[in-house]
Parts: sequence; structure tokens; C-alpha cells
Amino acid sequence: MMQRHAIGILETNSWGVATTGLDQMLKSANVNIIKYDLVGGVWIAVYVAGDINAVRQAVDTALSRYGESPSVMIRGTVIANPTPEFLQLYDL
Amino acid sequence: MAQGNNPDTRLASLGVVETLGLLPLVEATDAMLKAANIEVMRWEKIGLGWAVCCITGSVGAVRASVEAGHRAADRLTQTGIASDAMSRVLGGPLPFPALNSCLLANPAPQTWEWVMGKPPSRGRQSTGNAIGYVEVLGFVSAILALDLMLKGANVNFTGYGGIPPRYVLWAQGDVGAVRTAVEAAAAMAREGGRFVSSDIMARPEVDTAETIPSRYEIRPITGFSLALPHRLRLSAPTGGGETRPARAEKKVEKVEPAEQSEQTGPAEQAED
Repeated sequence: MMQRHAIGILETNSWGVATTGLDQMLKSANVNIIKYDLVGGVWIAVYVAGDINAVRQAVDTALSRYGESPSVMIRGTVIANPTPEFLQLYDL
Repeated sequence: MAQGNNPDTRLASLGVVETLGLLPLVEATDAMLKAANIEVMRWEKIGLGWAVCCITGSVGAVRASVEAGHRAADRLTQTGIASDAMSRVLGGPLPFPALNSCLLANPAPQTWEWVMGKPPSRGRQSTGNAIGYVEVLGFVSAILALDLMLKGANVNFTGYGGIPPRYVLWAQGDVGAVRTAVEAAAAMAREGGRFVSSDIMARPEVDTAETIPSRYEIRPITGFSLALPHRLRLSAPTGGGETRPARAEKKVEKVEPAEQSEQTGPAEQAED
């Protein structure tokens, strides 16, 4: 298992945005995808992992592309230095 | 990770954080785990995009943890584009806030059992045949309403129904006790704007009593995760196999037909 210094998560209400957002994240920085997560309702989350700066860069890039869109709900966060309990809780 | 399946109930408090969407809860759990020495008891996607995290520990630790988690999640639910876009996506304002949390310093035993997914034991002996319910919005409200019902009058918790995030909590006991419990819980829910409905049946028909749902487990309804590249798993694991107890039998007494547990099984599957 690769070492996970930081976890980046992108949550949106659209499969298309989730997929293209993931593509943006993977292209903009050195991060790896962990999983898609179907939250329920309309929400989809994408998890990526990597170095803290790379993850932050990736999430910022994806957010800046869709943040202005009127019909898409998108939000992202970076979890730096996650605890083992956290990783187990989210199956990462 | 040590799971809090056997909390020392003399010391253990219960903290619950509930969010709409996963991301605020991710922030909250990260902050909670880093803030104080607590254990995560349950973490579930309860349905329709709502997710809850229940933690346990000493009162001070749980209080610090829940406050830290609430603050962290608040950044993602209340501000900026998140709340605007959310109301647009949902076609209107939310019926209740997208982030709720509560702290129960000393929960009733049956509240513990519900949160831990165990069938409720008969606490105090109540002989009454009346049943009543209160229906509230949100898991946090449901926990608070249940605890208030159990502490406020001599009633038994017999199970819950409803479509999350709406919960219907059923209580059984004497007419007066059930009325007191349900009215107290309903009044509390009304104050917070989380009230849906409530009623009591002083002497339910046997056929009516049979239809009352008796689900004790908090189970994921719609959520699942698609892990890459080779794992496909239902929700987050909660530790060892013994933490996911088998569904228990219904415990409404005096009105209980023997085959009730067989009847409810397939019906629940279809409903989900």
C-alpha cells in the first residue's frame, strides 16, 4: 500500500463533473485515485491520495474549474496527515 | 481500531454528528479524532445523502470532540457556494439544517442499544398495552427524542421505522406513560423545527400492532462505495464481524405473533 500523506476528496452532484474533476486532479498534480463513493441521494465523492501539496493543488484545480457553474454543486477538502482510525473508517 | 461496543456506561457519553453529504462528515470525523481521545462507535450512510457518526468517550472528550467536529463541518455546509448550490440542487431550502450534532452526557440504556445496533432489552417493567410514536427529522433529533422518551416516562422502546432522515420511534407502556413520553419528545422536536408527527394508540388492534416496524439496526440504505481497482464493499466496515449483529426478533409483548420476524425480513429488503 502506498503511503498516504494526505487525502483529497471532491464531492459533487453529477457523475460527469465527478469524472472530469477526477481527470483534472490526476492531470494537475501527482496524485492517485483511491475510490469513488456513492454517498446516496445526489452526491458522489471521489477520493485521491498523495503528497499534501500535490493533493491541495489537485483539489484547488478541480474546484476552480467548476466553482462558478450555476447548476453544479461541488466542494472539496484536503485531509492532511489522516489518523489510522480515519483511514479505517473510510476504508482507505 | 478499538470499537466502543462495550462502553463503560458510568463514564461513557454519546456524541452524534449528522451531515447532508459526505464531505462535511469527513471533515468532522478527522477533526473529532484529532481533537480528543474518543472512539468512533458507528459511522453510517443512513440514506438520501445523509451520513452520521457516533462517538463515545468521557464527557469532556466527547464535548470537545463534537464541538471541534461541528466547527470543521460548518465550513462546508453553511458558507459560500455550498449552501446556495445545495438549495438549488434540492429545489428549495432544506427542511432542517444540513449539519446537526448533539451530546448526551448520560444516555439511557436503550438509547445505547439502539445506537450500537442491538435489540432493545426491556428496561423498566411496564405492563401497559398502549403504543405511541413520534416522527422527527434527522438522526440527531431521533436520538434526542428517544432519550427523552425513555427518561421522561416508564415506557419501552420497541423499534423504529420511517424513511431516513425521517425516523418514527415507537414506545410501549401504560397509556399515561406513553402519552407523557410522546408529548415530551414531540414538544422538544417542535422547538427545533424537526417535528413531523406523533400519535398514540391506547388499545391498538392486534393486526395494527403487527404492522409496526421493528428495525433496530442502523443500516445503510442507499449508499455504497465503489473502490478501485478490485474492491466492492458495502459501506464502511465497523471493525470485526461481531459488531454487525444479526437482526433481532420483535419484542412488543402481548401482541406478538410468533412468525413476526419471518414476515418483516423480506418486506424490509423490498422497501430498501
